[in-house]
Amino acid sequence: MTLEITNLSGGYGPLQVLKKETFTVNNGEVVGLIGLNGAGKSTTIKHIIGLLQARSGEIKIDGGQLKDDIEGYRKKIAYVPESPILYPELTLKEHIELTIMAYGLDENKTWEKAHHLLEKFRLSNKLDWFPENFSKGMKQKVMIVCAFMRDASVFIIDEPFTGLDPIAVHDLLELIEEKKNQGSAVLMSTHILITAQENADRFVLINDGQVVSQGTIEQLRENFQMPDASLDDIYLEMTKEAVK
Amino acid sequence: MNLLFKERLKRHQTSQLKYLRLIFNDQFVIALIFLIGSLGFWYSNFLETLTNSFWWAKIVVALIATILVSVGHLATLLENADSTFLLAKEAQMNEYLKSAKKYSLIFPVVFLVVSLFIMYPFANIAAEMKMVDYLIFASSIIVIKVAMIEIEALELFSSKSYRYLILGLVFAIEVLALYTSIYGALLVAAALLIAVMLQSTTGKLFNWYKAIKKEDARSFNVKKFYNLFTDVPGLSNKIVRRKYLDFIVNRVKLIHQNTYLYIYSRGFVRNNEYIGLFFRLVVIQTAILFFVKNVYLSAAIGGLFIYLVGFQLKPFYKQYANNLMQKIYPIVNLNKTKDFQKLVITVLTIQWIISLVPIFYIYGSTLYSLVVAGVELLVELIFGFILLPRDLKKIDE
Repeated sequence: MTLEITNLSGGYGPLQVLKKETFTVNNGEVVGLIGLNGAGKSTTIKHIIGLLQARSGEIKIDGGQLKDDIEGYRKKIAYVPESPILYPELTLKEHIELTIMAYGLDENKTWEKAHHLLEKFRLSNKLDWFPENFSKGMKQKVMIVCAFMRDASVFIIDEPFTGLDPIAVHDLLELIEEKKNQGSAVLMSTHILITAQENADRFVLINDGQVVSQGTIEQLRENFQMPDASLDDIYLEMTKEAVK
Repeated sequence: MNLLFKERLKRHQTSQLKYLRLIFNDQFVIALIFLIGSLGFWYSNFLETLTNSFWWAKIVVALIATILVSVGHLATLLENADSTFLLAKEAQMNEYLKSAKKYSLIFPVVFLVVSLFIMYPFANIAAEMKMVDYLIFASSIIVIKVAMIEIEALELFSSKSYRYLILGLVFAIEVLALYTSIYGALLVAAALLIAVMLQSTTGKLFNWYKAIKKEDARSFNVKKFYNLFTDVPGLSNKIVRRKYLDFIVNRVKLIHQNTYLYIYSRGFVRNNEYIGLFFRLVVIQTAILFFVKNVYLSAAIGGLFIYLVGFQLKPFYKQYANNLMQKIYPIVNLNKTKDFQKLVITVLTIQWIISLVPIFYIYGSTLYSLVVAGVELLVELIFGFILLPRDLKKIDE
């Protein structure tokens, strides 16, 4: 049991967004975090990576909480944010170097992986460029390279597909599969439900800061009493219920 | 539309006031008094050396006046969204611009009156201009400024710009008038103003794209000026690769403990704002130190500039403290204030070494050199080890 969230409540300052969320992401499993805009997906993620503090409830990675061992906890997470966060003063090469330094990684081994990923995303010839000037999709690729060149226990990917070209989407899904097979836990939030249905093992549907339903696609169909329904249908059904 | 401008003006003035209050803090006022005092001292000394008039002084007067008249632009206070939301009101833009022109005149006219007043003794001695003549000359300059603001407004209805042409003409006319009859200058200026006022914009299209771009550039320049003294949010900094300086940043070893230093060093070298500021202040400091021959003044100026460079680097820390990725990295045990301190002390030491050149040039290998260099070093140490850590702690909270 790698990522374990129990009764998580929290939000921004006085504004409570999350209400008693409970779900887990196991080793070797991809979980899709599904919800409307403003449902609390990114807020949940911000709590997991430690940018926001929980009011009550627990978040554990491999049994440990952030406060027990801050650096150890952070090293277990690889995070791809919804909108790329880059240093305007650093080149692509330096972003990779910085990641190696910050996480205390082995230089040669990590560079080997990084080169492989850069090749995949057609960035190899841009090592000395400033990613700040890249397009949205290319910036996203830089974030993906910096996250996936590490061996983290938990990969957290926020809206990974927006802005990526079809080849990159395909490559990213391959990478996720690869990490999953290596035993990492992957949590990805997304709106692209077809891709999610095909590539995630389980789903956590959240609405208004609460987990509405979770499980495999079969379990969801059962919960909503919609046999043969796609994730898309279930999502729309959930939306209707939410409006009521 | 008049109301819209009034509302914008109010908002604009509150933000300007906020910046001015930040700029005119105690330290800056002291530095300013020093600066004005020494400039005034220099000017009066300079005037005393002028015993005879010389024939080209009038050209200098005209040139300075031309430079002075170029200060200040039409502030339209237009915003980006206006090109979408105000399109329907295009017919009323003239009304809006009328208020904008009125407001835009205040600063340049006050500026011209004060600076032309300061220039009078020079014009009187070197160019042998009588009070009456000088008043007529000054009036012509102010009338030209009014016309120039009008022209800037007219230019928003076309794609052309006459600014440099006009400045060139102003210089030529003033030179001509100063050597023949000064009344000519006022006559030409008045004629220009009347001609401009008679121009009509009816039937012409307002060039929204140009107007918004110009206003953006204008407010960016103003903010850039404020940014010399205080931290202006939303001012995007230009980043330049500067590969030739890699040998400096490459001195930072690629180990976990250096994570912050890695970011800081590269940020400092490549961010135009900070390296530019360092460069500007060091050049000014070096230039002043080459001219000052009073050991106390040299020490005061040397120390002041060391302090200024260090002081101006503080926003740099703030900028980095807020980067999100930095909050996620497993680097809580590393000391980001210590690394910043390292950067500041390195930068100030480089500045100190550069300042040794003019110091030893002026005072040679005497005790004076030691005193000036020693004062500078003392300021560096006090700033780097006492003031800076205290301020950084405040920023972190």
